[in-house]
Formats: sequence, C-alpha cells, structure tokens
Amino acid sequence: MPTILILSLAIIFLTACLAPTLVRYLGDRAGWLLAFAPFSAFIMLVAQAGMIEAGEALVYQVDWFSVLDTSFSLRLDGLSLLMALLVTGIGGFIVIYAGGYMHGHPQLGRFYLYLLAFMGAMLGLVVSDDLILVFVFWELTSISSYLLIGFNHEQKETRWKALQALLVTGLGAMAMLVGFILIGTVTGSYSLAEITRMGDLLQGSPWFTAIVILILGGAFTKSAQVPFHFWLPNAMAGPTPVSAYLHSATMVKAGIYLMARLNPSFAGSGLWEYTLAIFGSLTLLLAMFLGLFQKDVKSILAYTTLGVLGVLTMLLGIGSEYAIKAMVVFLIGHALYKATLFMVVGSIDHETGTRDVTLLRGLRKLMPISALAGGLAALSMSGLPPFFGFIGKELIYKAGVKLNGAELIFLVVALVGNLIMMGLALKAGVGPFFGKPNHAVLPKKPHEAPLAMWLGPIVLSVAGLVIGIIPFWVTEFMVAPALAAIRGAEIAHLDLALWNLVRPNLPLLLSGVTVLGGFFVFLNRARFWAVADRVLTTIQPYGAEAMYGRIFNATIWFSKAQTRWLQTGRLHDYVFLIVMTTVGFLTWAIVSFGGLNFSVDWAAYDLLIICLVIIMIIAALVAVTGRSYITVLVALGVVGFGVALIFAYYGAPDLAITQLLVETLTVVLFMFVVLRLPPLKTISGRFTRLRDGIMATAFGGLITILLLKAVNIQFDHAISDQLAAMSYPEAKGKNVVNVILVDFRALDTMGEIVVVTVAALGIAALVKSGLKGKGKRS
Amino acid sequence: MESLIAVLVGVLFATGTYCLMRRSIVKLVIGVVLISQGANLLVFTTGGLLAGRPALVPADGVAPPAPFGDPLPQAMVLTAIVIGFGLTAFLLALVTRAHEAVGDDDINAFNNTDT
Amino acid sequence: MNKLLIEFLSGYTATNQWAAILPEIMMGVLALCLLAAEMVLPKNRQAWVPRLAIWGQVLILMIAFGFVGRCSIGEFQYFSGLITQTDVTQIMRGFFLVSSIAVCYLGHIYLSKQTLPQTEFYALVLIISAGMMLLVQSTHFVMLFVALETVTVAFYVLVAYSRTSQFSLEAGLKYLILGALSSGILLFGIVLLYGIAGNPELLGASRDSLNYGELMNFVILNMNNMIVKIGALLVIAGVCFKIGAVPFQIWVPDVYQGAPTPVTAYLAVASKAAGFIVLIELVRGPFFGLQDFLVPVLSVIAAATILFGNIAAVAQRNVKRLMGLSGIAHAGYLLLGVIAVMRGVDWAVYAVIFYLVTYLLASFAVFGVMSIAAGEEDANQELDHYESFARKRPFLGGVLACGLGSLAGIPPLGGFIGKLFLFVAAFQAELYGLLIIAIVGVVISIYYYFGWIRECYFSSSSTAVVKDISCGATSSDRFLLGALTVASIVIGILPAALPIIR
Repeated sequence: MPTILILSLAIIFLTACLAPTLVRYLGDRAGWLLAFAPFSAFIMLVAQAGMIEAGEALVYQVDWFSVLDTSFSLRLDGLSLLMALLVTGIGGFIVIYAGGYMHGHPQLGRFYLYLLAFMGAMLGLVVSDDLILVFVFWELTSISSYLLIGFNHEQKETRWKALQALLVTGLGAMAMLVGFILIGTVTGSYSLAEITRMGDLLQGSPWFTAIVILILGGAFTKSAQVPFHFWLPNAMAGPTPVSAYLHSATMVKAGIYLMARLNPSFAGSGLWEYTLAIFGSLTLLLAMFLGLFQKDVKSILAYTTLGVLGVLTMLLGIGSEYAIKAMVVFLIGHALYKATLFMVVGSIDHETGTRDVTLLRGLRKLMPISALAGGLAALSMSGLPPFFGFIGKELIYKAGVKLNGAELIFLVVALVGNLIMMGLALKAGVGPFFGKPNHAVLPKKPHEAPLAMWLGPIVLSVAGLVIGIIPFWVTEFMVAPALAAIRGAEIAHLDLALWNLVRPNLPLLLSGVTVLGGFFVFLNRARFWAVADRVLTTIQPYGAEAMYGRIFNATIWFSKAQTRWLQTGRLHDYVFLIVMTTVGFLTWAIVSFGGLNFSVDWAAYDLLIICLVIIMIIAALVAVTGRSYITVLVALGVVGFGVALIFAYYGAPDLAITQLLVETLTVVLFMFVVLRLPPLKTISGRFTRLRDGIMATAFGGLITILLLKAVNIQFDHAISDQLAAMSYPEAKGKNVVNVILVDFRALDTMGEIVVVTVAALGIAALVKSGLKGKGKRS
Repeated sequence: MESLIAVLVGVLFATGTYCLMRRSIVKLVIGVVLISQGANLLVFTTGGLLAGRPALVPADGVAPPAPFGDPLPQAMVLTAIVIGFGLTAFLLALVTRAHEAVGDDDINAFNNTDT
Repeated sequence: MNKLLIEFLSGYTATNQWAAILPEIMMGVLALCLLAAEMVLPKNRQAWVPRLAIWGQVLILMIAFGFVGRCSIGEFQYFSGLITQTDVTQIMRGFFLVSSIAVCYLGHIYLSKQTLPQTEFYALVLIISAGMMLLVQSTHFVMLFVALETVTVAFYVLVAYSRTSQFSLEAGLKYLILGALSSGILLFGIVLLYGIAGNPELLGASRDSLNYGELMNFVILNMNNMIVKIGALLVIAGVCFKIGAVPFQIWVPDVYQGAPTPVTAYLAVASKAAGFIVLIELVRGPFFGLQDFLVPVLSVIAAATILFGNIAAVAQRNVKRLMGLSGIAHAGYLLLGVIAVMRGVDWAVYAVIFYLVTYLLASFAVFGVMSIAAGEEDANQELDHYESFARKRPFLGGVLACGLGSLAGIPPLGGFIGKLFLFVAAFQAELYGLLIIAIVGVVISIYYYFGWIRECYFSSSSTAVVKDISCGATSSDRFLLGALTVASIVIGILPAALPIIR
C-alpha cells in the first residue's frame, strides 16, 4: 500500500501543527498524546517489513514539475525502512521524554512543533526517491535542527552554536545540490532507484570526481566528518532530548544514509572507497582523542557519537560484505544505546543539576531505573556479549581481518577506536552511578526521574539486550534488506546468531583486547581529566573550529571594510565612482578595439557658429566656477539660448522655439528658488576639485571622441525620408517633425507628456499641504 | 561638420559632471541643467547637421525638398528637452525642500544614510 | 465584450492600435480619476482614494488577463514597431499590476502614519506601473528611453515623497542625480548605436536603426565594430543601474533606506524586474550578435554583484539597507539567468520570471511586515528592534520568517524552486565558475537572513523588555500578508501552480 508512505508523513506533520494547541490545553502531558503519531507511523511501516524482505519496494509517485523531470516520489526499500523505523520508533520515546524533561517550560508547544517537524522531515528524507525531494527534506532537517539547537536562546553562546551548525551544514547542502544537478545531468534522471543502477555511466563520466566531492561535501558536513566535525559537539547546546534524537540517533545519520544510498553507484571506483575509509578513520581517531579529555557527560557522548559516525563511514569505505553488515548492525545498535544514554544523562542533569563527571558518583540507589538503563546501554556500547553492540563489533573485526597489506591500518584504527570508546562508554554510562555517593556537592538533591523520562531509556536499552540474544527478527527483516540496498545486490539470509560469533578466533581475541583496554582507559580516566584543560587549550588554535572562526570573522571584517570604502554615503563619491568606471571602461574599449583614428574637418564652419560655440564653452565654464547666482544664471542662460541658436541654424526651428521657451521657464524657476537658498560657496578642497576636474575632463573628452567616431560620416536615414514622404499624404501635416511627434511616434509623445505630469505631481507633493493620516494605526 | 559641436557636447558633459561631484546642492542643479543641454545637442548632432534646411513641406508640395535636417532625431530632441525640463523643475523643488529640512546646502551635512 | 471593444477602438485608430495598450491607458485614466476624486470627495471621505486605486487595479488586472489568452500565442507588433507584445510581456503585465496593487496597499499603511499628501502617491504608483508595462513591451530605443524616463522620474518623486524626513529627501536627491547620470550614459549609448547603424558605408546599415529588429541585423553584420560594442555596453550600463548591478549598485543601500518602505519595495521588486526583462530583450534582440563580447562582461558583473551584495549584507544592522544589499545579491543570481539566455538556454527566460515572481511574493511579505512594524520614521529600523518580534506578533513573525526563508532559498518555499531553476539553467549554459560563486553567495545569505529570523524568534534574555515598535495587523493586512505567504509555500511545493514553467 504505497499510500502508507504519504500517510505516515502527513500524520507526523499534521501532529506537528496541532502540537502548540494540544500543549496549551494539556500542558506537558501532551507528549503522551503526541507520541501516537510517530508510533502509529512506526506500526504502519513495520507492517511493510514482510513485503520488503521479499525483495519488493513500496513506491508512491505523483508528477511534480517537469522542467527537471522530477517527480514527487517516495520509495521504501530495505535501507529506507531501517532508517524510517529508527526515526519513528526512537522519535516516539523522545516525544514522551521531552514532556518530562521540558516540564513546565513556557515554550513547550513550540518545541514540539519543531521536534515533530524535524521528525517528518527526517522521515521524508529517508523515504524520498527523488534527489530534489531529498534536498528539500535535507534542508528542512537543517532548519528545524537550527531552531531546536537554539531553543535555549538566552545565552549568546547557544545562538552562535546553532548558527554555526546551520552554516556548516548549509554550505555542504548547497555543494550537494550542485552534485545532485550534476548527477541529474549525467544520468538524465533524478530518481535514486534509477541512479543506483547507473553506476557505470556515472563512473565513466568526466564529472565523476566532481560529483563525489560535492556529494561528500553534503554528507560529511551533515554527518560531522573531519574537518567539519566541530559543529556536532557544539550542537549539544540544545536541550537534551534534541541531542538524543537529532545529534546521535537520527539527523547526523542522514549523511551516512546518503552515502549508503548512493554506494551502489559509486562503489568500485577506488576514489569513493578510499576517501570514505580515510576520512572515517580520521574522524574516529580525532573524536576518541578529544573524548578522553571531556568532563561533561554530554560532551563525552557527543564525541563518541562522532567516533561512531567515523566508524560507519570507514566501514562503508571498506565496502566488503562483512563491513557493510557490520555497518548496518552498528547503526542499529548505536541508535538504541546512544539515545538511551543521552536520555539518562538528561535525567541526571535534570535531577542533579550538573553533568560534570568529576562530581557525579553513586547515584544508583537514588535513580535505580535510570541506572539500569544507563548500565545496559553502556555495556551494549562497550560491545560486551550478549548485547547487540557486541555483534556489531565482532563484525567490524571480521571485516578488518580480511583486509590486506596497507589496508590493515583500518583494523588498527578500529581497534584503538573501539577500545577508547568502551572506556568512554563506561565513563558516561556507569561512572555516575557507582562509587561513594557525594550528594553534598550536587546543586540539587537527586531522586528518580518521572515515568516519562525513564520509559524510553529502559525500553530502548532492554531492546538492545533482547535483540542481541535473539537477533533473528532484526537481521532477517531489517539488516538483510538494508544490506542488499547498500550493496545493490539481492537480499540474502544472514546468520548473525550470537553463538555463531563466540568462537575462539582472531576477532574474538581482538574483542578481548578491546575489553581490557577499555577498562584500562576507564580506570585511568582521572589522569586524562587532570591534563584536559592544558591539552585542549594547546590544540585549540590549530583546530578546524578555529579556522571556521577565522573565516567567519574575516568575512565580517571584510564586509565592514567594503562598506566603509565603497558605501561612504556621500553622493559626490558615488558620482565619482560611476564616472570613473565609465571613463575606465571607455578608455579600455577605445585602446583595445582600435585606436583613435578619425578625421576632423575644421574648415567647413561658419565664423558665426565658431564664435557661438566658443562663447558657449566660456559660459559653461563660468556656470561652473561662478560665485554669485546672477553670474551663474546668466551663464546658464547663455548656454541655453546658444543651444537654441544652434537648433535654429541647423534647420530645426521647432526645436529652437521649444528650447527658448523651456530655457526661459528654467531661468525663471531658478530665480524664484534662488531667493530661498544660501549664497554659493566652494566647499571642497583644492585637491578634490583638481581630481574631479581631471575626471570630468576625461569623461567629456571621451564623449567627444566617440561622438566624432560615430558621426563623422554622412548620413542616409531612409526612415526619416520615408516619414517625411508620408508626412503630408498620410497625416496631412506639413511640418515633418510635428507629424512625427503627434502621429507616427504618438506613443513617445504621450510618454513625454506623462513625464512632465509626473514632475508636476512631484512638485505638488513636495509643496502642497499634507493630509494627516487618520488610520487606526497612527 | 559635426566636430565643433562634438567638442561643445564634450565640454557640456564635462562641466555638468564636474558640478555633480560638488557638495553644494545648488551645484547639482546646475550640473543637471548642463548635462541635459549636452544631451539635447548630442542627439541633435547624430541626425547630421545641415545648415538652414528645416524639414518643412512647402505650401504647394507633398514632401520637403531634399536635403533637409533629419526629422527623427529632432523629434527625439523635443522629447529630451521636455523631459529635461521636468527633471530640472522637480530637482529645484526638491533642493529647496531639502535645504529647508536640513538647514544646510552641503550634501555631506545630510549623511543620514551612513552605515 | 472585450473583442467588441477592441474592434471598436481599432476601427478608429488604424495605424496606432491604441487598443493593444488598453490596460496601460486604463491605468493612466485611473490615475487621473484619483486626482479628480481627491478634488470631488469631501475631506472626511478621502479614504476612498486608496480603495479606488486598489480596486480599480484589480479590475484592470482582470481585464488584462482577458488579454493573456489572446496574445500568448505569438508576437504582435504595434505602433509601427515601437512595442511588441509576447507571452513574456503579458506575464509581466500581471506582475507589475500585482506589485502596484501591493504597493498601493503598503502605501496606505505607510501614509496613515504620516502627514503627507495622499493622492499623488497612488497616482504615481499607477503611472509607474503603466510605464513599466510599456517599458518591457518596447522594441524601439526611442520608446525604451521615454518609458524608462517616465518610470525613473516618477520614482525620483516617490523616493523623496516623505518631505518631512531628511532620509527620504537625501535618498531622493541621490537617486535623482545618479539616475540622471545613468540616463545620460544610456542615452549616449543609444545615440552611438543610432549614429553608427545609420552609416551607409557599413554593411546592413539600417533605415530605422533604433528598431530592435533592424539593429539586430546590423549588429550581427558589424559585430566587431568598436562603436557598436561601446554603444551596446553603455546601454547595458544604463540598465545595470536600474537593476543595481555592480558597479552601478552604489545607490541601492542609501536609497532603499531613505525611501518610504512601500517605495523601497516597489524599487526592489518591480523596477528590478522591469530592468531584467529589458536586459533579456536587449541581449536576445539587438545585441544578439555580441554574445561573445557580452557574456564575459556580464559574467564578471554577475560574479561581482553576487559577492558584493552578500558580503556587504553580512555586517548590516539596518533592515532596509539589508534588504537593499541582499537585493543586489538577488540581481546577481538573476544575471546568471540572463547569461544563460545568451548562451542559448531559451527556457532560462522563464526561470528568470519564475524567480522574479517568488521574489515578489517574499519581498512584499517582508516589506509588508516592515511597513506595519515601522514607526513614524521608518528609515531607522534596526535588527535589534525585531528582538522577540515573533513572540509578540506570532502572525507577523511567521510571515517574516517565511518571507526571509524564501529569499534565502530554503525549501519548501518558492524561493528555493526559483534558485533551483536558475542554477539548473546556469548549469546547462555551462557557467560552472559563476555557479560556484552563486553557491557561496547563497550560503553567506543564510547567515544574514537567519540572523534576522534569529532576532525574531530568539532573544538574549527571556525577560527582555521588548521595545514596542509595532502596531498590530488589521484583518486586511492579515489577508494580504497571509495570501503572499501561502502563495510562496504553494509555489514552493507545487511549482506547476504558476503557469510560467510548464
């Protein structure tokens, strides 16, 4: 039933819209009701598992817009189903949890709106088949994540961090969009299902490298791979339910999802595999290294999440069957235990008022259920049998030991990474509950969190244990179809039973090493804390985040400098700039296109015109330099009447008459106004005047030269002849100019009249008395 | 024939532009007047200059005797003259009003729209 | 009914087909009616003037859309080649009408807070709208110049309309001087082309060299002539001033800030749109032969425009200047579409129009909120004034966020699809370098658009004393702004709802 897809999307988005109203009436109990939306979507989707397992896919498609040949198409296959179940299943518990965590928060309704909108976007992202649609949902997750991270916006720090996440992922998303357009152009299709079958075409195209880089730009920023990792720990500034949901279980996996989704098209190229494996392992190592020094429980979890994202990317890069299998299992296991741990940490924070691991200790008696959930999750994360995390880790080692030569380095990376991760897991999930209680130093007196806040953790962590012991359902209905989708192969049966994995072989030995090393790290945790501040401040200036900060500040600085230089707010600077640009351009054009050759015939002039022109030039100069209004007005008058004389001399009596009239009117208007103005004065300095004078002269000179070049040939304007010939017979007018104005070019004349009207209206608006606005607004 | 007028057009544009770069708002008006005169002459010149030959149909004829001044640019010039006048008139009103409102004729004294 | 009217009118004007520009004429008549109404109506009934302006335009819009069906099939020339009507000009008629209706409405909000003459404002808005309709239809440089001057001079008046505000007067003065200079440059370009194309010694010398079609043939035959190139570039420089492209963008922030907010909106949306359609018609028509020369020039301009606008907006705190600077960036993106047209991607014309429509919807939503939120002096709106705006005015805050989101190109809003179309067109035109610059620009723009949204939704302290910058929205405000926002969203989800790109 393809409508299931659109139905589950609709139900979540509609619930999102209803959330503020519900919260208004029900308060924080609304969470229980709102959770029905994700859970019902979950159930609807689970019902499709049988069909997916049989190798079919659910497709819902309507036409969208045809220019790009895109359609609104949703498609549910193994990988999508897996992701969709994580999104809705964990999402439901998060919604319930948030009701307890945000208890009494005045903006809870808006919080639910954002959270559910995010959930819908995430669900949409994983079931979209169309690349453009993927991008739409991708951006929606970024936006809703921005709103959620910045939800506690009272601190400037928080808002800055929210914006950082948005900008980093936004940059990647735009790169990805270009990558999508490239894919669409190369393959002629925007459908993921079709694109994954066109790997050869893509890899053979000259654009392939660009496509990989651009797509990875999107995936790496979203999934916080080196060197874009820094936003993820910072995103922990958001409320804890947000961290639990967006920044560990779902959104950060969007990049992983995209890479997995496109894997069939790109795998086999070498470029793809090595890029992923190398960046993945770098991310893992860096995250683990930084994680060692963290003291905030939430930060510790953030860095382990970062590490897991690195592992997943690395496994995808290794790309063998075992590696992909390990990746899928690890993905599921991580979602379950990390969501739990975050929620538990949120409960601890909520109940004790602190997240500092150096203070938290011995809480198990006071918060038994949270302690149980946290302990189970931490053990699963440590990769101890019989938890689901163990299966994932075993598969990683199985994939690792199959590698040859230099690639074995990835096995070493995985070992080191897992080892530290176990140490961190115990530090975050077990440490706070054991040891001697010291409640005196805690800001609040702790007790068990309410039902809403322990329900999710306990269910999810127990699920991690149960599916570890009996993995059959999960492996057959979720892992196997997802594996097939990622590898672009047929669905095969998997044998991932626990007892098959516990055999004395090299992977199990590596597991043993991991456990020992993990305990070692856990027991020595205090040593790392002791040097934490020193280490972190030493490396900080060289990190990617510092680089981001520098680019950011440089942009702001450049923006201000640019404004200061160019937008001075002074009109004369603007005029100068425009004239300078024009002069520069004209000079360039004249020099590069063909010189200054034109002939000037000075002999053919009447003395009359020569004298007139000389007088007008002098008058123009006087108009510029004159110091009293009378001089200037007389000079302007001379110029104007001179122009009229030239018109009259060269056979344009109508123009001459009009010019005389207009000139007279202008002078009169001027006289009228001059009385209200202060005397003329010279304000600019000598240097400025010289500079402006040179520029203006250059401008005028260029105009003269170009005009000479354009018109020093005799004309033959046949259109005018034609108009002249038609003038009397057609329009019964003997003055050709007049006929042109009122008949052949009547529309222009209309425009001209309108211009004068407009000017009159403008003057009226400036002069006449105003009407006081009587609206309700004033 | 046009060289001399071309020089005149250049001078009018140069002086006009120079005025537009001044800080006194009255100079701006002078600049606009000069440039619009220059523009009128500019358009007129492209029509070709023929002394004393208006494009008038004689009382008994049907077409003006060739050669005559190109009537099409002349029609354009008429348009330009009128537009220039409208512009100048409005500018005068605006400058007066602005001077009243600001109490200074230095454009830099306005600088409200600085960042 | 329409048909009868057209036949009746064309019977009397055999050569000049005045019926073809019936909507424009009706706009002019409506403007006159407003002036007459002001005189006839008693003082306490003056509120009818804006109503008459708005409903009159709605009527004209309906009549004009009767024309769309008739004229969308092909090209029609009128007034012996002065104007040509195509499907593009028909769409733009609707575009300008919608924007002038919106401007009248915003003007009504604005003027109710001021002590200013009212009727002239609406009359000028109508004249500008009609002028722009003719501007995009003109296929003759004389017509182009006259229509352009009509529009520009009217804008000078509107920018300086708030005669009691120093900001407005200063902006008007700046716009007038720089506008006159750029008109001079444009005219000089036209004259050079006219001069050279009438030269009988050159191949293809034209009888009517200011006509687009004739000039196009001439230019194709003389594409290496220096004067032709310079003339074309000067004309394009004149148009670049109107669209606010670097290096002629310099007036934009000052004028946008000083002008009354409705006028700013009008300049940002309609004036820019008209400039772009004119530019497209120029590069498809008379300058068709100069592609090899113009594409690099326009590419440099586009790149500089995108970078300048976005970078300058980053540090800007005044919201009107911010809209101006970001508007420069939008002009840069639109130039990508124009260049794509020149490179032979024909549908890019519609991509540009689509983008303009989404820009119209989003901009008027934002400017509408600004008009309502403005105090008596609206030039001084700072980002800080919008702190916690959404909490106080959830509806206006939502409209503002949607509008800004659409401008930033965030899906599923219309602006996203607009950018998508433009970028795909640019990609098909193989403008890879420009595309990268545009992408960088879009990312930068996220910073300042979301900076504004952040001010609205987030506040530095929950107990902040919210400065009361706003009056509430009336139900008709809500209707207009709501309609704009819904349209933005609908277009974003269903681009086919807008019958521009099929």
